[in-house]
This record gives sequence, structure tokens and C-alpha cells, in this order.
Amino acid sequence: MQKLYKPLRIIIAIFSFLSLSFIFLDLNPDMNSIWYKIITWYQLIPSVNSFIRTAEFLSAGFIIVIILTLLWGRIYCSMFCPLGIFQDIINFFAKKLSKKKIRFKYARPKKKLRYLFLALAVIPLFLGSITFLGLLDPYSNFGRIFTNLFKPAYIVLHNFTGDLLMKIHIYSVPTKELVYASLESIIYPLLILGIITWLSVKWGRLYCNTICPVGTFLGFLSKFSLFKIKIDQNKCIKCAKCSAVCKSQCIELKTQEIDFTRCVGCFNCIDKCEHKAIGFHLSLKKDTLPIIKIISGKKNIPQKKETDLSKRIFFGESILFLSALTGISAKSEQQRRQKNRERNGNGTTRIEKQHPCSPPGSVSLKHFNNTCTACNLCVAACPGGVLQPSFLQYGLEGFLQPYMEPKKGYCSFDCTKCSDVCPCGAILPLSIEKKHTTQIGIAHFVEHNCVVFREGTLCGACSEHCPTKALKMIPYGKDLNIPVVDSELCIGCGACEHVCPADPKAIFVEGNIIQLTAKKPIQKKQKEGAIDEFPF
Amino acid sequence: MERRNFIKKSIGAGIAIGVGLNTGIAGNLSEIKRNAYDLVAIKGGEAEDMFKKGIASLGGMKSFVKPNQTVVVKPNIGWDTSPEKGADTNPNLIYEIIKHCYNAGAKKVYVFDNTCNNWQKCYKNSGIEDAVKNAGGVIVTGKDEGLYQEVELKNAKILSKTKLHELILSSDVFINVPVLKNHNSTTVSCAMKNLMGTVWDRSFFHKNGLSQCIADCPTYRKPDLNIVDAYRVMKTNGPRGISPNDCITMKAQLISTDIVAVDTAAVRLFGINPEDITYLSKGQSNNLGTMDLKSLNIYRISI
Repeated sequence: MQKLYKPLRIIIAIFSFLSLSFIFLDLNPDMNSIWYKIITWYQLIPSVNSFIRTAEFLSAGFIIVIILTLLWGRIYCSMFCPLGIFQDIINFFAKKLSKKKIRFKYARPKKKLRYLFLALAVIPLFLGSITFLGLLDPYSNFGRIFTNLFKPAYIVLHNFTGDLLMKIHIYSVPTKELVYASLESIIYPLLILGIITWLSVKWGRLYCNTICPVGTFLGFLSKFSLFKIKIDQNKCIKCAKCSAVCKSQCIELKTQEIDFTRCVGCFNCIDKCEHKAIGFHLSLKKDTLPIIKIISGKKNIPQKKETDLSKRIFFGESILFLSALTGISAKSEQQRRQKNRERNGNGTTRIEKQHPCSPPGSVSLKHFNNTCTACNLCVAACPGGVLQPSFLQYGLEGFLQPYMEPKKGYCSFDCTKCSDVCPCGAILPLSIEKKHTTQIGIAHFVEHNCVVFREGTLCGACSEHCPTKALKMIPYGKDLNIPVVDSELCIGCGACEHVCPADPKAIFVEGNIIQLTAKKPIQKKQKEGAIDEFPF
Repeated sequence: MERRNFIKKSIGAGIAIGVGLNTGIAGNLSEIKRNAYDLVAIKGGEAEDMFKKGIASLGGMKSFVKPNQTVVVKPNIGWDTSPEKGADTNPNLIYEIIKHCYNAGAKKVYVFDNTCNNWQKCYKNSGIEDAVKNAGGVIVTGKDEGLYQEVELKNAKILSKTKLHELILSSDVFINVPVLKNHNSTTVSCAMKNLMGTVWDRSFFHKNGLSQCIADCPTYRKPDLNIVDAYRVMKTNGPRGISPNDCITMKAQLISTDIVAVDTAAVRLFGINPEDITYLSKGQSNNLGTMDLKSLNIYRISI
């Protein structure tokens, strides 16, 4: 029976990994949004986040994760966490490729670091910032790596195939538009990819047991697990085969004990042990499973609180660190605004925006910045390519969170994809009717940048693309017309800015701090219909 | 000249074996004259029925498509809207055209547009992708720069160089199927304007004189046939429109090989003086065709 654990774990892990890769690579853009919800449902951080924002039972997948952990420990980390599984995959191939055998051995836990990172993620939450949790959350890191690094690579491969086929006039594999994120916004995912590759090859799941706040949190929970992996001291011959395959490096053979807070439940040790000396054991000791105690009627038994001085020091240090970073972001923000609206030598005005637009359905910049962990699933799913990971467009409080970048595309009028797929409640669901009037920003026209003003020719590309005709063309001079913005009709989709041929742009969208409701476009019914006589 | 001879022969054959596409004396009489029509205007029917009548009066699709030829049909699929909004060409018409091409012996019929909105959504929501597939045509992306080849337009005033879709360059027959509608800058968008969707860099048009570029674009390759869909006509808020209320149901169609003439007639249908549409006169001076409808032999059909 215990021999089945590892294959079962691998099957579930592959399933989780492939399904998440599927949506982050956007392999099927037409897939029903409900699948996105199902696939991301059991991801811990988005699920908790979404549950807090929407209080919907449907977003309570995290309860399953907590129950699983209270039963068998951190099996989430091996079966469901995409970044964890990704590290296992890297490690698997590293083993295949390297000439030297990769063997693990017991390492002492890095408790101080673990709690520092947990504090870094959690304390800012109480100060109203989710940035650090987002930067450390494994699901979000996986999402950023796949969306910003692997998806473009996949599209290049896809297009290579498509182009070859088109050469011989087969058009059934149309190429996809390659939209890649700005260089500065992919530095962080690149860094994380580098770190997890290096750590997973050298030290297995060190990332999960040191940096990952989810790992630390679930590790803490696993202290109370009903079943724990233990070594049967009577059967164990200390052959060390188990600890050589333990990527968590948590099997201490000297004492024949397992640091279960670091165990990710991969069951490699159980699989490897020839003496059946290692396996799950019911663990009902004094510090076990509050749930059992609650069920048996003894509610709310206070847990023994350990006061660890070093923990406190780290908490203090991390607060200092945070406030320093906030200071830096405030300063860069100031510089950014100063640069705003400098006149160029040739009479045009360079556009510098005060605020970017957040995706429709994100309520306000505050709600969005405080909720989004920047997993970039919406970026991957956005068919218009307008949603891009930010760098400092929102300031530090929205680091790497998606924003609308009209340089890359514009928001499709009849599309609610981002709000349909958002797993964490940062972009709340919008009906298509509601979307049509959700104003995420307002277009501003700069006449002296406009082609019509500068060249004296017709253009109207902006008004052409405007889905609500908030941009109307009015007569200008003898034969020309020039746009005017009706800001009550404008929804800030950015189509006008995207297509404006002027350089610098003659029209740009300034983001709304709070998303408003635009007026519905005026709909005059046309009277006349069929013609009686041809007018020629 | 070859085409004319062909038409004459086919008419002769048609009469000889007694195959009349129209019934009644009037229909038969008109058939005899059909080789002379410069423009056919049809009104009062469904888009596909008007097309059947119209193309028959020109000798059928076989006057334009010879067996084993490749055909490119260029509708307007520019916008991600449903057919009743009139921003894109009527999908039923596209279906019928492709069917006629295959019946005339076409080897392959390709359909594409360099859309304004997201191309997959445009193709799908306009109903054109389904229409093409059902008719056995091949739908091709217009959003791949690799498919465009740079060409020199020797007779152009401004657009002296541009990248055209390879299907425009390689297909034997080029059929232009615009939808007649309002446009915020050029007032009316129709056959000549529709060819902007065969070019990779549309923003060049907007940057460098929209009307002249529209008139320059067809100088490289004029469509062999223009079929103007004026079934639903967007009268305001064009070219995208904001609701079906922007449209009238005109139930008309124009067919001609002359792109300027067909546009001139379309502008008249729209209710505007052709002299007010700048790109028409520019097209005429680029020798693309004539704005003088009086000089043309027009066949008018009412259903």
C-alpha cells in the first residue's frame, strides 16, 4: 500500500502542473472561464485572498488544503504547488543530465530565515500591502515565470511551425501575436527562475523550506497533523537511502527523526526504504491536531507560545526594511511626476501619465494594489495583449501587478476575460453589460500632437476604433475633421491611444483612481430603410 | 479582351443550349446584353439572392474565375462585432460568393483581412469564419507580418512602397467584398477603403494623408471584381458603430469591375454627393476607374 504513495503523488502532481501550465501558456484561448476557476481553485494564496474579498464559498479551496495538511502534512507542496512541482521537474532532469549523482543529506533547518521571509510576507499585509506576499507566493511566482518567460518562448516555437506551413500554403496553424513584457518587469521572474533552478539542483526544496511563506505556514500547521511520516527505530538499519532521496533534507538519521515541518510529502523515502521502516504513523500526542480536540468538545485550547528573541529581531528588521523601500518608491514617484508634460523642441508634448489604468472590474487602484499578488494569469489570458506586468507604474505598492499598456494593445470592448479568470478577487467579475460602461480611465486629446493639426490631412484612427464613440470627429478647417473627447462616454479602453499614429501620441488614457460608470452611448434609431429607386 | 470573348462565347453557348438563368422574356432579353454591363445594381432581396441575380447578369462567376484558378476574397472583417451591426461584410454573401467560385472551378478560395480589432474575435463574431468554412473556403490570418511582401507602387502619389498580403499578390483572381458604411474621417467607407485591409502598415495611411493613400493602394493590383454589400448600411458612428441602431436595412448590392464606379454608386446610395468624397476623385486621377456614372452601362435589378 505504502508503495503506491509515490506514484499517486506523481500522477496528481503532473495533472496539477500540466493544467496550470496549460492556462498560463494560454494554449486554448477559447477555453471556458470556468476551467480557469477550477484549475486555480485549490491554490492557497489566491484562494484565501479571494475568500477574504468575496466571502464566496466557491473560492474556499484553501480549506481543503488546510484539511489535507492537518491530515498528512504538506502534501500540497508536492501535489498541488506548481512552483514546487516545477522544482521537482528541474531536479528530475538535473539528475538525468548530470554525470555526478545528486544525493541529498540532512541539513539543519534555517529557522531564522524562514520566519524572516514569513514576516516579510505577512507583516506588510497588516500595513495594507500585499506586494511582498505576492513576490514570495509560489503560485504567483510560477505564474509570472510562465506568462512572462515561457509563454513568449512557446509562441516563438508555435509561430516557427506556423510560418513553415504557410510557406507551403497551409494556413490552418495561424501564427499568434508575440507580445512580451517590458524588460524591467521580467527581471524579477528571471531572478526567481534562476534561484529556484540553482537551489533545486543543489539543495532540493530549500526554496520551499526557507523562502516560501506558504511552505513555512503549512510547515507550522503540519506540526498538528494527524498522520506524520516517522522512522520505526526497530526496523531502521540506518542505510541512509531515505535521506539521500529526501529533497527537503529533513531526515536526521543520527536521531532517526524527521523534521516534519520541512517534509513536503513527496514519499520518496517511503518508496526507497527496503525495510518498511519509514511511513505514516498516527500522531496523537500532546500538540496534535486542534481539530480533533475541537471535534471532541475541548474547544480553543491555547497553544503554548514560544517566544523566540531572534524572531522578534527579524520582525523589527523587516519593518525597517519595508519602510526604507516605501521611501524609495515615494521618491521615484515624485521624480516621475516632475517629468510629466515636458514640451519637446518641435512643439509636441511628451506624454507622462499620472496613473495607469487597472483592469476593468478591479474597483479602484487601492483595491487592486491591495489584493493582486501579480500571478499574471490575466496577462496570459488577455486576448488584446493590453494587460502587461507593471514595473513601477503603480509605485512599489503595485510592483509587477498587471496594468493596461496601450502601447501593446487595447481592451476589447466585448471581453471580460481578465475578470473571469482572476483567481484572487483583485479583478471582480463583470457582466458584459457592466463592462461596457466600466470606466477605467479617460482619454485626453493633445491637439498640437495630432496628425490633423500638424500635417493638415485626414486621420481619425482614434475615433474609428472608439467602441462608444466617446471620440467624435468635428469639422476642422475646410475639409478636415479632428477628434473631441466626451469624457462621460469614454471607458478608457485605450484603443485610441494604441492606434494613434502620431509620435508622441496625440491621445492618451489617464487611469481612474476609482473605476466609475460611464454613460451609455446615445442610440438614435435610424428611420429610413429600403430604397425605392436607385439614385443613379 | 480575352474575358470579353469568353463571355461572348459563353452567352452564345448559353442561348444555344437554352440555359437561361433568369426566367421570363425580360430576363432573357437582358441576358443578351449582359456583356456590356459596367455596373450591376440590385435591390430588394436577401444578400445572397441579390448576388445570385447580379452575378448571373454578368455571365455568372465563370466570367471571372476559370477552372483551377486560386481566388482571394477580401471582405471587411475589421471589427469584432456581430453581423447585425453592419460593421463587417454580410457572412451569407461571403458564403454564396465562395460557393460560386468553387462552382466555376476554382482550385482554392482564400479569405482574409488585416483586422482592426483582435483578428480571431473578428473572424469568429462577424460570422465570416463559419461562413468560409461551411463553403469550403480557407480562412487565413491577416495578422502575420511574414505573410506580407513589400511592393513598389509606381503610379502612387504617396504610398509608393507598402507591404501587401501574399494572397493579393499570388492569387489568380482578387474579389473585393466591402460593406458600405459611414466612416468618421472619409465619410463613407466602401470598396477602395476596404483595400486598407490588404496592407500591413495601416497607420502609414493615417499618418501620411488618408485619402491619397486610399486612392494609391489599388494602383498595385485592382480587384478583378468588386461586390458591394449594402444590405445593412451603417449610417452613423462608423466605421465600427455602437449598436444595430446605427444601421438601416437598405437591401442593396452593387457589382462591378470598376472600383471607382462602384464606390461612386455606393456613395450615391449612401445619400452623399460623390464630389465630397476626396478619395474618389483621387482614385479617378490615378486611372483606377471613372466617377462618371452616366457614361456607364448600368443594369438595375429589383427583386
